[in-house]
This record gives sequence, C-alpha cells and structure tokens, in this order.
Amino acid sequence: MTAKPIIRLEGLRKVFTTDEVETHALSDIHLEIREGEFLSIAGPSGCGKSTLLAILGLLDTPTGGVYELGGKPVSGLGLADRARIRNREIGFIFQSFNLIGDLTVLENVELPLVYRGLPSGERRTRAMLALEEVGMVHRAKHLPAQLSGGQQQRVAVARAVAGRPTILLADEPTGNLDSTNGESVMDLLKDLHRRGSTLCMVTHDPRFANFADRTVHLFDGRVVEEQEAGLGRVVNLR
Amino acid sequence: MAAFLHDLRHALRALLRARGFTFAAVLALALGIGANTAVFSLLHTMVLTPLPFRNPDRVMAIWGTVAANPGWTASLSWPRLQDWAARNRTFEALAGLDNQAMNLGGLETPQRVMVGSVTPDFFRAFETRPLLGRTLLPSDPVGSPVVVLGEGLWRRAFGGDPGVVGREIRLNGQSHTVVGILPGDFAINGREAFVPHKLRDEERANRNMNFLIAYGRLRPGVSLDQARADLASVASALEKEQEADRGRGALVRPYREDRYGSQGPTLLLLGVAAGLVLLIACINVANQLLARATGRLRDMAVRAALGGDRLQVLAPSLAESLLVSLLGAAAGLAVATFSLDLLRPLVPADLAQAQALGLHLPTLGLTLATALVTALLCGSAPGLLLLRLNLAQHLKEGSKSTDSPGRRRLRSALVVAQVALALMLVSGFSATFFSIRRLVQVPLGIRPEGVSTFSIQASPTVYKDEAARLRVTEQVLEAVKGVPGVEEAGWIDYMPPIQNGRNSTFQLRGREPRETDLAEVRAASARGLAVLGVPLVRGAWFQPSDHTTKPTAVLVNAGLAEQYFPGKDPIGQEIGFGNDWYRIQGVVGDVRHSGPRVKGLLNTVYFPGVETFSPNPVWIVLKTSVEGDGLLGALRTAVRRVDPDFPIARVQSLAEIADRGVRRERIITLLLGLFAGIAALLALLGIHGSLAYSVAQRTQEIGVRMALGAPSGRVVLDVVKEGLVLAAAGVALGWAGAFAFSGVLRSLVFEVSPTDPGLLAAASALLLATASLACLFPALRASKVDPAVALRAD
Repeated sequence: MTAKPIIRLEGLRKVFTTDEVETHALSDIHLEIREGEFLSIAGPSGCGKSTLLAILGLLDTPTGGVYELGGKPVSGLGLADRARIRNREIGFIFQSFNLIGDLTVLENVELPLVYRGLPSGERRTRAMLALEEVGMVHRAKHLPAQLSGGQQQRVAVARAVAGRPTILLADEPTGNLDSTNGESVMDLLKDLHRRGSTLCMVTHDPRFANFADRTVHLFDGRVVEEQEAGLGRVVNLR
Repeated sequence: MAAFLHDLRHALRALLRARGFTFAAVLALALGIGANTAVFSLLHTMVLTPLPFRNPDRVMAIWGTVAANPGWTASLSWPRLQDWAARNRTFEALAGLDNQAMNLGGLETPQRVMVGSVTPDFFRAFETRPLLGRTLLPSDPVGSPVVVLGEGLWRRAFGGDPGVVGREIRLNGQSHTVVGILPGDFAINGREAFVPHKLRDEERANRNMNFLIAYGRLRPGVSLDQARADLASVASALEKEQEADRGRGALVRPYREDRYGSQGPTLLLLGVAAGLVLLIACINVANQLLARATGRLRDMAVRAALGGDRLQVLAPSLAESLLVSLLGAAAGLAVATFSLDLLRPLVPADLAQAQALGLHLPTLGLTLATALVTALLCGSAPGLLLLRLNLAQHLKEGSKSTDSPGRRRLRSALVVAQVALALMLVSGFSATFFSIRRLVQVPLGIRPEGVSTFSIQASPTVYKDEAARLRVTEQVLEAVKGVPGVEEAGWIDYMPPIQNGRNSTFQLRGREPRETDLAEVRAASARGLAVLGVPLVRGAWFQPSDHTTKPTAVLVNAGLAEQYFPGKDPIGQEIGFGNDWYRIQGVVGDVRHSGPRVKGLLNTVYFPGVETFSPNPVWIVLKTSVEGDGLLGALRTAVRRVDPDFPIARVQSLAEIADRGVRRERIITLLLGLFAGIAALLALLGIHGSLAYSVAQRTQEIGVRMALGAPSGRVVLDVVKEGLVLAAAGVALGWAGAFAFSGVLRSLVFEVSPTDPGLLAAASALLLATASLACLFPALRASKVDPAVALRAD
C-alpha cells in the first residue's frame, strides 16, 4: 500500500519583484512527499531549492499554485496559523545551525516546546530525550559557542525532532561541516528516517543526495529530473 | 507566564553580559524616570494632596474687585463681609481671616508665631476635626482670649504636651486659653494658630478698611457659577446703598485654585521638561535596543521558524526592556530622592506643613507605571523589525545580520528626534538663564550691600496705641545702635523688594481728585530709607523730630514727583489723604517694592511713622560691618533689654532678602539647566552610538574604500558629516519644537523671548559643536580600520 502524501504541491509558483523586475524563482512545481519518505532536492546554486524549502516550511508564501500540508491547503493561512503549524508539524535543520547563542543547548532544544506551551517538566524530559537521540546529553548545559560545528548541527537536529513534527526540513545540513562531521550528521538523519521520520533535504552534494529515497532536481526554478533510489532517472518530468 | 519568566531569566543573563549597554540604558532611564518622579512628587504635594477640611471642593476664596482697577483683587472690610454674609443665599458660612504675626511669650526664648485672626464662622467654612480639644466656635465671643494651636507649633513650643489644652499661654503679652490642637496639615495661609479676631472700632465702622481675606463654604448642590451670580447681585445691591461700595464687585474662586493656581505655569513647565527628558531617554534606549535587535534578527527568525508567534518572538526584547526599565526606575527613585531638595523651595509653606515633599505611595505607583510604559515603548521598537522580517532570508544568511536601508533610516530618525527634543530644552534653559540675568540686573532702587535686618512686633495689646508702639520701636532702634558693629540703624514698615505697602487714593491741592490717583503708603524712620540705600533726589530726609503723633511732612518718590509736578518743584507742595494734608519735604528714588519683575505702583509716599503705624511687625535695618547672624546674640540681648517678649528669630542680610524675589526663577533655571544638560548628553550619546554602530556595520565598506586609496582624513570627514547631517536635521526640527515649547515658558521668563532667533541660534550652535565631538570618536575609529583585516573578515 502506498503511504499517504503529507505534502502536495500543484502548479506552485514563486515570483520575486524588485524595482519592477520580476524574477521567477519557482515555476509550475508539482510534488508530493509521502509519509516516511526521505526526499532530497538537488540542483545548482540559484535554482530555487532553498526557496522551495522555505515555502514548504511556511517561512515564505507562494505566488500561485496549490500547497497542501496533511491534506489541507495552507496558502491562505494567517501568520498565527502558519506559526502554529510550523511549531507542531515541521522541524527545521539549517545549514548554519541557527542555534540561539544566548541559550544553552538544552534551552535551544526546549524552545519549540516553550512556544507550544508545554509544562516545564515535560519540556525538559522531551528535550533530554531528543538530545539523547543525537548523543548530546553531556553538552546540555553548554552554550552553542562552546561546541564544534558538528555538535551544533546535532543539537539543531535534536531541536528539530524534540517536538515530534510530521516532517523534517533540512536546508544543506552538511554545508558548513567538514566531510567527517557531514557524514556523521547524514548518518543521524538516515537513522531518524529509518525510525519513521519523514525528511525533505536540500543539498547540492550528490553524495548526500543519494542517502534519500528519492531525489528531485531543480534547474531555473523547475523540476527537471526525479530519481528514486535503485531506479533510473526520469528526465523532464513535465 | 512561565514562558515570559523564562524570557526574563534569559534577558537578565544577556544584560549581565552586555554591561556597557545595560549601564548606559539604565542611566538614561534613571535620569528620565527620576526627573518625572521628582516632578510628580511636587505635583502630588501641590495639586493632588487632599485639603485638610471637609468637602474641600465647596470651600471658596472670596475677593473684592475694584472697577477702576480691572484685574486687581482686594481683601474685604468687616462691614462689607458682614453684609455679604447676611445677604447671600449660596454660602452656608462666610468668614474672614487677618494674617498676623504674634509673639508667643512665657517661653525660654520667645517665638514669632503666624496667627490667623478669624471671624466667628471661620471653622464653619473650614470644617476640620481637631487632634485635641475643639476648634473655635461661632459662640466664642469676638475677640475672646482663646486660641487653637496647629500641631507643628504645639510640638515645637510645647513638646506635644496634651496637657497644654486648657492652659493659658501668652500671645502678644496677653493671656489666651488653648482650647484645641489642629491636625498638622491644617495650615490655612501658612497660619499655625488661630484666635478670634479682636475688632477695633475703626475696623467695625470703616467700609474701606480692607484687611480680611474671605472664605466661604458653598451650600450643598450650589455650583460655582450660582455662587458668583449670587455675590455679584449682592455687591450690585450694595453699590446702590453704600457710597463706599461704588464700583466694588466680588470674585469667587475655588480655594485650591486661589491658593496654588499661580504655581500652575511652573508645574506645567517642569512637567513638560521632565516629560521631554523621559521621551529622549526612551528614544535613546529604544534606539539601543533596536541596534541590539538588528544584531539578533537571525535569532528572531529562528524563533519565528520554530513556531513562535509575534509576541513570543518579541518577548526577549520586551523582557530585556522591562528589566532595563525596572532597574532604571529603581535608580530613578534614587535620582528623585536627591532632586527633592532642589524642588522643596517651590512648595508653599502651608502645603509644606500639610504634606512633606517626598516619595509617597502614589508617586511610587506612578514611577512603576512609567517604568512599564517605558518598557513597552522601548521594547516595541524591535517589533518594527518584525513587520518586515524575511524569515527565509535571515535564516539563510546565517549568523551575519546586516543593516537594511529601512532600519538605518529608522535609527537615524530616532537620533534626529533626540537632538530636536534636546534643542527644545537647551533653548528653554537659555531663555530662563538670560531671563534671570536680566532680572538680577534690574535696579531695585536699594543698595543691599552691608545691610542687615530683623523684624520686631510691638504688640497692640501691650503697646495699646500708635504712640506707644512708635516709642518702643524707637527704643529698640536706640538699643541696637549701641551694639558694636552697627554703624547706622533705622526702621521701615514694609520691606522692599518682598512686601507691598498699603494702597490709598490721594489728592493734590488745586487738582480735581481722581479714583486712579493711587499711591503706596509706607512708613520709615529718619534714617530708614538712607540705610536701605534709597537716594534722596531733592529736599530733605525726615528728622527725628518729625516722628510725632501728628506728622506734617512726607517724602514722595521720583516717579510721583515727575508725573504730578512736571516742570515744577514738588518740595513744599501738599498731598492729601482723606481730610489730612501733608507737605512734601523730600523726593527719594524709585524702589521696586514687589521685586524686579513687577514695577508695581510707581507712586509711593513715605510717612515718618505714627499715623500709618499698624500693629504689623516693623523691620529694623542696620548698616553693619558684620552681615547676617553674626550680630544675632548681641542684638537679641539689646532688644530683650527693651522688651523680653520681643523674639528675634534671625538676622538676615538685605541681599539675601532681595535674592528671595528671584528664588523661584533661580530654581527653575537650575532645574531646566539640569534637564537640558541630561537631554543634550543623551542626544549626543545617541549620535555617538548610532555612528559607532554604523561604522561597525560598514567596516568592510570602509575597508574597501581605504583599499581603493581613500585617505584617513576623508574617512573621518565622511563619518563626521554623517553625524552632523543628523544633528542638523534634529536642530531644524528642534526650532519648530522650541516654538511649541515657548508657550509653556513665556509667562515665566522676564524680558526674553523663548523664540528669540539669537537664542535659538546659540543653542543650536552649542548642540552642533558638541555633536561634532560626539562624531569624532567613531570617525577616528573608522579611520583606523585595517583594509586587509576588514576584507578578510568578510
């Protein structure tokens, strides 16, 4: 039986307008991400992959087309609803980790749970569990600046999974790491996927794209290739 | 709530790490909040303190008006007060008070006591509950020897002994029974004891002998307008019946407005000035928070990405702002406590007794409220960043937060606003500064150097007639002349420049009498005026032989002589008061009796004593080689040899008394100077902070410019120019603000226009010059940027 789609994009477009000049960042994107799937989005710089991920993460809004999350359209939602969905349904992992420097590791991981309004005891338990998953419990009271890049990204992964979101969105998660740390983080993501998490990862590194079940290639804001692990390429899908 | 406590904890940690920012922000808010707290304390004491009697809103002050002199208010005569009390239908009680100073004898050291000599219904108008015993009652016979003491006097003179009620005390040499003690805050007109008025025959009969300050209590449900109309109709009816009441009307004012209304402009000015300082402080802190928030845009974006709503994303800034504001408020209370001593002289004496100027509960409440509003205002500034926060962009950019043109414009606008507000205060201070310089340069007509003075009271109960009072005064004069250090001595009845004399109409031989021929009538001894330094223009001084019970000669001032005897010799001319005529024997210089600000009546007539010799205290004036209290002991001994009940509290220099006429202006100038200094400092810190931040943000750009060959001097010039453009814009905006602010200042300055272009230009030049200095430090830092390091850092 095919898993149900968590995300469905239909004819999605994104146009940036600056000084009356229109830039088509994304054009006519059709995409489904199914529950438990590990999808990677690949392509050269400027092809629109980060824009696509920002729209998927409700950090940005599309200019047109349909975006359904969990079977419900999200394009017309207000700021508060979008924030609530980000908090409950989506976990973010950024290229530059984006940990808050003033907060300890534990407080960083707790942050989405604070916004969810969980009591402090439960927050603490869930944050510690997440840190345990990524092997960072021993650094719980440190500040981000006291950690290596690889460790910071592990903490970011813990923060993303602590709220048990429906989908994890990772934007070049290894982009700021050396190869050893990069592989270690990818192993961690693969492990999360194995345990049932749905992942969507943007990467320009073909080695890491291969970790995914399926890779979508973008070029000039369009999906030009789609490749499933173990299957051949499908070029110019649409 | 738990989440906000969480944010507060983090904010505290962040503030401890950023000690420089915390110190600057707390200091700015402490000065702003402290200034407002102090001014509110003053406002609370003078306007909001409940008056110490029942239904104070129904108590009115009632004055007579004179059609011939619009704007004048006059006290009432006994017959007129009786008529108004009997005929009105809107007051349940109408009473009068005569301000007197009495000698409280029978003590180790006699004391001068400010006494209210009141008509029977006084305590029906001012209903209050005594601490002990009772108040005066309408049933107390007029002039009966009873007294009710104020709490302050009771504690000072009798150590708070409750047994004093029912005991006899000596006032002006006469025994009085103490019937009650009034609560400490009951100090109508600054009086500390009240006695039933002893009515003299002339007071009972003379409708023009105005000596009673009248007060009334409105009947329940009667409005101010109804009371005014009622008394107007009473006065109008009396005009038809009484010759002396022609042109006489009534003026009714609520007691509080009458007593303290003149302080309104001062309070308004200080309130506006303190408000401006707080506004500048808020803008300053908001700008600093904005700069910090700009550095944390990535954090804000992360919080938003993790699902924080706007309030949750803004919470760290709000928490930081709240902590800074609360710390600022706490430090502000300390600032206010120190400032209260500066403000204390502005509180009228009776209110100072009623409510000590201090940080009372309502003041503390307002301080807390100010802190919360400040926190909201300052903490909201970063909220503006949220409106245009591009989450995807800031998350992608990673840890580097760059300054957008919009944010730069916002920060620049805040700096411009600070400079504009500072200019308003600096120009306001300049206006008061030059105003006071002009005030002290106004010739008063006296020469205070080397002149000391003290007052004595020849009690009318001991010294029953004018001749006896004059005699004992002359005896005191002779006694003090023998004190070593006293070179010359005299006496006068009213002390310039702080006391007006009595006004009276006069007539001249061969000239039709006019109602507007008014002169101030004063009495002085043979050498009294000479000791004060009043010059003799022509004719002769009084001689000791002139001091008789029936004087025949007077002195007039030069103004009167010029106005009424142009081109003629006034010496030998006759001037009449009532049915009595006097020969002008000398012309003396003009004196500003009411201080430098008020010219007052130009016409003054000086009598050699007797006929005008009232039971009020007289001032002994001494030309001495030792000023102030240096001769106090010797003078006391000399005076007590004449009468042991004559108290001398202190000996003051005439310069000190003259300075009292400009004391309020001095305090206002000092306070405005402080406010302006704080405002200018904050504005300059604002410019400095903004430029320093801008230089830090543009390090790479500056590096590129220098790599391309820009000389250091050019870099310095560019940065200074950037700051001066902001300062100049602020100055331009400040001119408009200064015009708005001038409305508050206009009534308080003397012969200076707060919008004088020269004044504003000077204030602008001062601000721009200091702004250049504030720009210089960031500019020098910019010139030291190492292009290699700057470009590598990118």
